[in-house]
Amino acid sequence: MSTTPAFTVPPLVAGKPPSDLFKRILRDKRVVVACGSGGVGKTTTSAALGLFAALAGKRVLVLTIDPARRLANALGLEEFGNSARAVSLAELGFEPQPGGSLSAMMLDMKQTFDDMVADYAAHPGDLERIRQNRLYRSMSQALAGIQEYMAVAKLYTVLQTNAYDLIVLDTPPTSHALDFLDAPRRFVDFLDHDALQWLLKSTATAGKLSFRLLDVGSSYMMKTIGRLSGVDILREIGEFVSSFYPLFLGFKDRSDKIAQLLVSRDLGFVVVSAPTQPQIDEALFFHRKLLHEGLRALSVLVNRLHRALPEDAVDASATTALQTLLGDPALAAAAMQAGADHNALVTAEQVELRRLKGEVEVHAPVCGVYELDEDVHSLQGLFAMGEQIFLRDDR
Amino acid sequence: MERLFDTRVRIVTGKGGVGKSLVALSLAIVAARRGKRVLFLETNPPESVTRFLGKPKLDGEPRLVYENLWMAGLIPSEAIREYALMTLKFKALYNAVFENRIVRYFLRAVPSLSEFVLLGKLWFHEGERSGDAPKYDLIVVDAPATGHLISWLRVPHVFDEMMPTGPLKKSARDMLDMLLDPKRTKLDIVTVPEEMPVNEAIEIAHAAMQHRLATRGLTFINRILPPLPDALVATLHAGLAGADGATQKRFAALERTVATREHWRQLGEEYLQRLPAADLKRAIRLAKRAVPIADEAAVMALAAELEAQL
Ligand SMILES: Nc1ncnc2c1ncn2[C@@H]1O[C@H](COP(=O)(O)OP(=O)(O)OP(=O)(O)O)[C@@H](O)[C@H]1O
Ligand SMILES: Nc1ncnc2c1ncn2[C@@H]1O[C@H](COP(=O)(O)OP(=O)(O)O)[C@@H](O)[C@H]1O
Ligand SMILES: [Mg+2]
Ligand SMILES: [Mg+2]
Repeated sequence: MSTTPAFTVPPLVAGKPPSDLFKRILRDKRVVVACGSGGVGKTTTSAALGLFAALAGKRVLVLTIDPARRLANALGLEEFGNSARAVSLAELGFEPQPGGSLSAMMLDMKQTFDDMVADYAAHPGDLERIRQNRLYRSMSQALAGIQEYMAVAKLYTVLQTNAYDLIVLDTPPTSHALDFLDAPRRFVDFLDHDALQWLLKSTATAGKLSFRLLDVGSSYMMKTIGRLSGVDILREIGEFVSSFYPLFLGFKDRSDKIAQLLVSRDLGFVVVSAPTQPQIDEALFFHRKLLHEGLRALSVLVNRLHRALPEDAVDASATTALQTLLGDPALAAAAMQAGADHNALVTAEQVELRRLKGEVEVHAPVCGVYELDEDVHSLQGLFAMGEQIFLRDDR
Repeated sequence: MERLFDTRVRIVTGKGGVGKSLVALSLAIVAARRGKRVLFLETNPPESVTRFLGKPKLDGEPRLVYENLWMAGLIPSEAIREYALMTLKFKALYNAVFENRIVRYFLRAVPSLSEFVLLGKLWFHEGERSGDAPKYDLIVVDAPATGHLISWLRVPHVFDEMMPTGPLKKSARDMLDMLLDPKRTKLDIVTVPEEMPVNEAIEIAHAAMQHRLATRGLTFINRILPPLPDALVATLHAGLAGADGATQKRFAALERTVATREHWRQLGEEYLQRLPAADLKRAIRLAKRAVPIADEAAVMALAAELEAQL
């Protein structure tokens, strides 16, 4: 791990110094994980952080999962493929600090899983047998937490290359953000469980396909399971487990390392949320989970806030003013209604924001991000969003 | 559209957070109001829709919540237990097998099994009878989101292919009979006018056909921003351009709000254009409320809006 030389963070744009959050990331972190429930802006935030860190002179990789198409286009990510693409910053109109560069990679879960299977399979024959196994075929997709696990597994591989100063990891759109944190551990637990060890041991000693499950096929318990399921499924499970033996060991090794990585000081979490009740609930839940694990969020972002309209644009006197302005009472009424709806939304958002701050702020800064006038589909858009998070507004 | 409620089972899905639960609940409320005996089944009880209604959380046992409307949660651990008891017949045998450490471990590790028994539970309720008639005329399932739904409904296919014989295979066949019969089951898709939810709606529609999950039913487009009068944005802009400085300052933010709202609305409509190409034509549109739906009155209003379009 290279040590970062002492540095001063350059002011990125005239008059706007970096925010404390940004300084901290640049100084201490090699990995930042953006997490939160689906649709709140994790992918966009990850890309915005990548952009700003690159502008500040870091070699950055954004490892993303599911960019909206217009954002993917902006990053030059038309396809999956598990390979990093350099993102040209030319269109922004100003140069990054020396050494700064931005790359992006779109993660292909299935490919990562298959790569890992190939890495760990002892013999080519094993590999083929695993791939043909019906259980594997249905399981490689259904296995709980597999997506989350793949994301961190890929992160681990990329880290090993030392090609980047900072990696920003976008996480899969789980409805439960904490699945992500639990995934590697669930894997380790699964692999460590004595039931599996019991099976594997008997598998390893008894040689191919003749293992305890079948040996004890006559036992009371197995007979009953057989009655429930039909016998072939038992054979397939056995075959699966026996072919997977070296793989399991490899997975376990990597899961342990990944679990260590998640708690390391080089890594920080940014929790992304939206100012609506279910999303704030999720963010609170995730934040508690982090604390419980002895981890700390670098920040909790509340994305897509709206600004209240000034009082005199929505009060009673505004109706007459608008009627004069628009020359049509129906249009004036519609404008008034739109204004009232908007302010009702802002009020509801502020209630949620306060609820979040009340619990979180003693532990981590809460940062509000206003919704832009357009969805984010260009470097300019990313800049406008990132500016709110990574630069200090000293007005 | 009255036929809507002649289907025995409606499975309601969509991307996370689009309003699946609320749409499913509204459907159930409308049907119950029209005199159907309805069972609302929820697949993720921790976030029960009962929070919207100010009622306690659901458990596995159907509970009468409104006239003609029963509600229950589909809970994996309960369902596994019931299924095993049904198949094994004896409680002692169940305890011997299912309370076994190793067996429990493998049951947990194979996620498909709990999904399988949840479908079994749905199938059971569909077949429940009281006297000569089915106990419920209609079952509305508040189903998991896209990815999970697809693997859920594929499970009986997997079991059917994998098992040579035995009770699991028979159950899988029964489930497939129910799911693939358009008179018995329909898959309703909920989306909102945003890019990812629309893409996911299309993804489900394809998956439903490609993997033979179930026959597609209705499309619901939730959270539609009510359009502003056509002339508003332009007239406001023109009016302010000719106004004095104080008026401009007073209404500048309102003008921007109105313009931005139109922008997002139009962008949303653009995304929705992709739906017909994916054969998602007949859609029920539900307006976005100024504030999130959070109480019984707001739920009832959504149900009324839905009913008006049937
Ligand atoms: N038409 C609407 N207008 C305003 N708010 C809405 C509307 N529809 C849904 N909501 C809000 O969106 C949120 C999500 O709704 P709901 O719980 O039904 O979604 P879901 O798809 O079931 O989510 P999950 O995937 O988490 O189960 C709720 O807080 C609800 O208040
Ligand atoms: N602050 C914002 N202003 C405007 N649009 C935003 C903002 N944040 C996110 N978006 C838009 O919201 C959509 C979802 O964002 P995304 O980052 O893909 O969410 P997630 O990764 O959490 O699912 C995208 O179309 C994005 O452009
Ligand atoms: Mg994303
Ligand atoms: Mg729901």
